[in-house]
Amino acid sequence: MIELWNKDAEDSLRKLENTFLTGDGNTDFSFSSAQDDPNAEVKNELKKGRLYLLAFAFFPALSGIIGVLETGILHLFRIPVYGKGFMWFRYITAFLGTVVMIRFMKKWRGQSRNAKAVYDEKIMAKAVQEILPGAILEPNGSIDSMDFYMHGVVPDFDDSQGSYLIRYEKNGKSCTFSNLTLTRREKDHNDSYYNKAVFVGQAYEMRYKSQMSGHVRIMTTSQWMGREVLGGYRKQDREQEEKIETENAFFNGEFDVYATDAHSAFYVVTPVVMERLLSMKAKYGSFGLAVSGDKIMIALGSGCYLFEPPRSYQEIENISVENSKEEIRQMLLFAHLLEDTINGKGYGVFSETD
Amino acid sequence: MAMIVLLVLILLCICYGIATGNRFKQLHIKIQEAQADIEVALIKRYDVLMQSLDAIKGYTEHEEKLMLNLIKARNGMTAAQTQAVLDNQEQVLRNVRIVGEAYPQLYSSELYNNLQMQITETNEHLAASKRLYHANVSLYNQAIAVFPASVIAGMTGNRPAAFLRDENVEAKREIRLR
Repeated sequence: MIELWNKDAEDSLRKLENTFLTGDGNTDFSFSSAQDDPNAEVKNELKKGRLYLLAFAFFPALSGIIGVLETGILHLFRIPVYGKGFMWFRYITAFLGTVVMIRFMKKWRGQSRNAKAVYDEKIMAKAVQEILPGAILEPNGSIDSMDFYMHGVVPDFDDSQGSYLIRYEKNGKSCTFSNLTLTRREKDHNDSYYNKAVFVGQAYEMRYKSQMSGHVRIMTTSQWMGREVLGGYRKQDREQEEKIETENAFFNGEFDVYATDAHSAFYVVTPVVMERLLSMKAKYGSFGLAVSGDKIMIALGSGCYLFEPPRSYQEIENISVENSKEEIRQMLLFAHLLEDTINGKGYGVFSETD
Repeated sequence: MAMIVLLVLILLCICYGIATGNRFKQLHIKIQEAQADIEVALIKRYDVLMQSLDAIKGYTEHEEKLMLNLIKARNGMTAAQTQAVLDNQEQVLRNVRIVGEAYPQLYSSELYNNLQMQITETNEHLAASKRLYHANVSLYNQAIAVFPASVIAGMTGNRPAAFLRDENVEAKREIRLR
């Protein structure tokens, strides 16, 4: 009976431990073996970070346990809990606890940075080079967000951050990609300021087929009670831009087109481009696009970052250069499909994968 | 009192008539602007076609039969003249392609290939101009067709504008494999 109880207790504890460490009670936590797994170094660095994080999350529980032990010890030695003699004991305990916590946090942050550096070097850099030979990867770099704002494809912002800036060449022309987060300081109902994320997603800069003298920007519409809500995006510049209505009424309902002149808008926004934009919106959600000079700028508000080191145990176990390459391919597919269509290279081949 | 109401109604009708008439004029001007846009594209294509004809001289003895007379595009053409120039240039373009197919050595000519690229670009600009023209014609025709604006249109002599037509629509309907 006792043996059975011990076994059940052991099993329950193991499942509890696994739930915290791996997210699944039936999956045991283990470090990867370098002999069996070429990505073991990366995986183990990320798993260590996970251990630190979970230990850190346990700190409040640990504090509670220490508090109970404290009280028990004080009762044992008949020291009054709120007496003067107790206060110095409490101060020392709190001081030691704070030192331990700070040290723990520093170790965790250092370990996280190290794990990301290993991941970027061993996985991302390799994946980028295999898919885009000669490309330059800057894990902490970001695309020029002000340029994107001036062309009206991202909303107004106060601060910008980015990651995984990739510069590469396509058909001899330079292209750029990065993750992008834009924040703006706003007031809440208590008149306190807070940082609101106004854009989270990806930004692409590619090359147009020729040097266009005009400027065209295309935004997915945001409708609220039948009114267009531009939400901080550059409003129509009445002296420089005119709002264009194309011959496709459905497209006009889904996108707003602004251009320096109608001819430039009709030159860029062909029927094929309209169909491509509609299918892209259905698949990827909202985005902004601008064609100006020889640049095509696209801002996709996906709400998440690409290529970041995974956090969950299962995702860490699935790390590989091949998986990262597939992620890069998907990222490129969106941009290149749009670029080729705008440059007149992709004509009407719409499949289920589009 | 009744007189005042009547006067106000008449005034409103007059204001509506003036506003509607002005709107027709604005739309008409938009059509003229779009037509001018087409003329610019046609003039550009005319220049490129002339260079193409010079490039393929010497490759065929019968170029004068194939080329027809290339009508010179210019500013200020009427709609009918624009249509005639469009049709003429389309025919010459087809002939240029026929010569290109008959004389493959042309493809090794850098000049010929550059001109083909320029023709493609001018075709795209022309297509954009034509779409813009049609969009403006459509807006204008809709504006003069709806009631009560149609009454004002009838009184002011506004008639529906014509779209540009494609000469070879019937031929394009049937795709023949060689």
